[in-house]
Amino acid sequence: MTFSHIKDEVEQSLRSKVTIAGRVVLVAGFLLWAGTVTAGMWVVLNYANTPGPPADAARVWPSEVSLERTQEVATLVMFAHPRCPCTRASIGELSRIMTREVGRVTAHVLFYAPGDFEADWERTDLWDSAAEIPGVRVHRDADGNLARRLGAKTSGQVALYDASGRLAFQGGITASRGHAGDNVGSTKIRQILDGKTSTNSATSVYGCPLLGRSACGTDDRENACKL
Amino acid sequence: MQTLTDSVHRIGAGVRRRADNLYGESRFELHAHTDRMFAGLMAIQWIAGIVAAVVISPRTWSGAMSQMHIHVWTAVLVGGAISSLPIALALLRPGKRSTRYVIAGAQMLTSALLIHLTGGRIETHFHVFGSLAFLSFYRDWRVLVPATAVIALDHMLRGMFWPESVFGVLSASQWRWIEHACWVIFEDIVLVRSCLMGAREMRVVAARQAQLEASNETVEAKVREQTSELRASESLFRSIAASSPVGIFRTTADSRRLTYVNERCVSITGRSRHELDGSDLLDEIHPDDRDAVMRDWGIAMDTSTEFSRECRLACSDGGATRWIHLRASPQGGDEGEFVGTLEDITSRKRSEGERARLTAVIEQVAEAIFITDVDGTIRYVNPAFEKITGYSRDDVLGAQPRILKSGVQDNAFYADMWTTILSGNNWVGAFTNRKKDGKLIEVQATISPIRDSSDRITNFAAITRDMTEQRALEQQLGQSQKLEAIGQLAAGIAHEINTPTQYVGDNTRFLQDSFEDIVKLFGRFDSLFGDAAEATPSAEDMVAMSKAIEDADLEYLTEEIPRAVEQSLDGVNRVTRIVRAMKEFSHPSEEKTLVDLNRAIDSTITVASNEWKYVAELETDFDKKLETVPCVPGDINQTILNMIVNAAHAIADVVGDGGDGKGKIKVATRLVDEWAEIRIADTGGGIPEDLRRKIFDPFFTTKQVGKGTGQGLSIAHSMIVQKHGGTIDVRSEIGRGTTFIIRLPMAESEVLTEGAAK
Repeated sequence: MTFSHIKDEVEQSLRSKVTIAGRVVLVAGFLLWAGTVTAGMWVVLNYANTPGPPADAARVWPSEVSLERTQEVATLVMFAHPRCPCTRASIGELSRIMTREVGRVTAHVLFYAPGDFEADWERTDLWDSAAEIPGVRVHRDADGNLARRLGAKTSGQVALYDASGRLAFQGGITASRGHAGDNVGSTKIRQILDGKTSTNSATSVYGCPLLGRSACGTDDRENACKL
Repeated sequence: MQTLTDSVHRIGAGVRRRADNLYGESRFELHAHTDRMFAGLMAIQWIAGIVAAVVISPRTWSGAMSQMHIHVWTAVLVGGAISSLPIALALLRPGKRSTRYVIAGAQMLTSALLIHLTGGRIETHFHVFGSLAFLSFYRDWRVLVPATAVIALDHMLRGMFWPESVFGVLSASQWRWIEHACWVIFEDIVLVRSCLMGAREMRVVAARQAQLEASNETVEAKVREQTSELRASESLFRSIAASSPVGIFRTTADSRRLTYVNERCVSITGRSRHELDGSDLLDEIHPDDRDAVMRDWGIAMDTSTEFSRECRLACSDGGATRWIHLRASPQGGDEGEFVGTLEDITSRKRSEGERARLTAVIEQVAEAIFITDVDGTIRYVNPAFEKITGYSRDDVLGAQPRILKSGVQDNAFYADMWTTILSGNNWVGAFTNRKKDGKLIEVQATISPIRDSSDRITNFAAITRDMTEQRALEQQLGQSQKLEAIGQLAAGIAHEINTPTQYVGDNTRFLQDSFEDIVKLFGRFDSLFGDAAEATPSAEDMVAMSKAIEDADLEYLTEEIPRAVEQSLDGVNRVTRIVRAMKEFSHPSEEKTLVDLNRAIDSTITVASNEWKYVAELETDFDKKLETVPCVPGDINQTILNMIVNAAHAIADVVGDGGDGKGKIKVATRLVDEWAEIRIADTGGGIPEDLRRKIFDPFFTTKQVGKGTGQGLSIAHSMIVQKHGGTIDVRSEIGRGTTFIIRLPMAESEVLTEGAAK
């Protein structure tokens, strides 16, 4: 056993230990990374899939509401926060419903507008998008008075009244926050308008708190108001 | 054949391995590139999500109150969280499987987030399918698995917890998410096939690339091999050229401009490489040789043949002409170049000159020279040999030297000679040869062994000089020496003879006078006796008689005449002894005979007595056993005389005329083993050390002109050493005297004794 042999064995042992340590670090790093990403994704998805307070619209079209209701066809009312990014998906779904159900429904989109804010604060791209949808009329809901009266709490909440003025559907028309695509709400509305069902149904609403903290104060789900 | 197959298999296996490597590298590169692309895409998507959130839902409202929308926070935080890990992995671990799996999942999560942020727009759902298409850029169908799993899981969980958000109904089937997942799987099927095709295509490309690389490698290896061989060849050539003992050059054909020279060319010409480059080769040639070189060069160029000429260089080596052998051959081609060699043959030329001179010397010398093999076969004889021996060159080439044997020397003589030269030593000696015509010749020979470079004896060279005439001259010279010696001794001898002759004459005259007186007295006696016969002598007669006796002084005569006779006889004896000594000294015999050495020495001492008796006392100490020594008496006498005269002269140089005392000469003989030894010692001044080596040289003398010729010791040495096979040694001490020791071999005494008996 010469000095060079001892030296070689020590170096080989060190290399082996370094390799093992590197692998340990690599695996640990991977697990840390995976955990972090999983947690982040979980938070994001949980946020996206956490609905607002359940809709609580009037069962019958309230007569004191100044909105025009057509007697021949159903009337759809959507409450929207003009600057809520999540509502863009709801406007999109509304557009698809209106395009598909032409002549069977008229729609009003009420954009929340704080009274002490500057004029036309509510006229955002969402306003324009909604206004461009055939059969849709957009309105300024000053300080959310109409929303309060119609029991809307979350941006994107929809209430569908049939031609007789009875509530046929209430809730959201997106699968999650700001998530476009097929969803239960849109499907229900199309089925109601197609006359395939008349069941009064409701879905979860995914969107920004429509009226802010004051409105949230009436809600049990404080978490939604915090966002 | 098996080897070739194995080689092909080896190459095939190598290409497959390379293709696999290339495929792996390409996949990794593609994955890493796609990872980086997704990192950028993730960042863009994150920013886009934030922008979308800010644009689409910047704030959320609650009545008249608003705050930043949760989508903005979601876009920033969740979007950032989703993008962070895949971006980090894409930057830190690009190309890793785990990275793209995380990216796949994150991309699907991003799709879900964007869909959510855009409010579930159906258009945004295309992000899912676009992302899957993007993920297919990995060309790894496995990536689609986690992506599909995330989508399915998303739908499954949302179907379980928020079914309306996915399926639009609150209570959808729990398996409905599978329907959604199947659409994704439908695209997955297309993309999986695309991924598989893409991967297959990558594999094909990799295989082609590997094949191409293999081909290139083969070509490059061949090129490297040939380049290596070329470099090795060039290196070899340069080494050879650099170390070549012969100059190597390259020139243009027509103008002879040098375009390459090696180091040897530089050293031979004495010019620098810089000077030689581009210069005319002809400039290096001696002006006297240039015309011939140009002529031959032109012929070689015209006929495309080799140029070869020996010529002189223009430069000299310390004044000596330098010779070169110039060779060049045309190399063909449009350039018309000549490549040649330049060899320094100065040494060879000098050797040739020296050899020619040596040959001339050998051919023209008076000494006979012949060269034999080690077995004695004659391989060369010079003209002098032919002249001296009478044999022509054709007669003796291939023959043995024994054809020259005279028979005078016995076999032992020749055996000793062969032993000497075969042992590597020179043999020097004299012997008698027989010429082709049968006449005998005396030769003095030196035979030397000739060695080759490995010190092996290859030949013997004999140089012989015809000594016949020299021997005759030496005899004449010896005789002349004797005559000279006798001439020089004549006065002394005459003096020696004159003394006894004088008193013999005086005595004879005394006897003559005495005889007359006695005759007169006898006449008176006769007349008296006649008268007395006739008459009685008278007194007067008696007185007259008495007076006549008195007048005749008879008593005196009676007393002196015997003495005169005795003295005369003694004188005659002395003369006789001198004459006999001279006779013995000048013995004419040239043949060896048994000589009473003591008597011969004694005679010589007698002959030379007038030379020494005035300056020295001479003492003899003879060994009685030396009565029969084989020698030539004349030579020994001559030698002893020269020694005694030299001793007397040496003593005279010390004692002058002898008035203040005489020196001493001692002559002794001894029989020592097989040698007769003669010692002649004097009390002269001695011989200086530096002169002792020269005293036996001919004509060397330290005596005054007229007193010595310088031939005495030279002839003595020749007689004793060469003629008798004896030795002469000299021992001298400055101021105390010199002793010459002569040794004569006694070996022949028995032979001569037997010959004499016969």
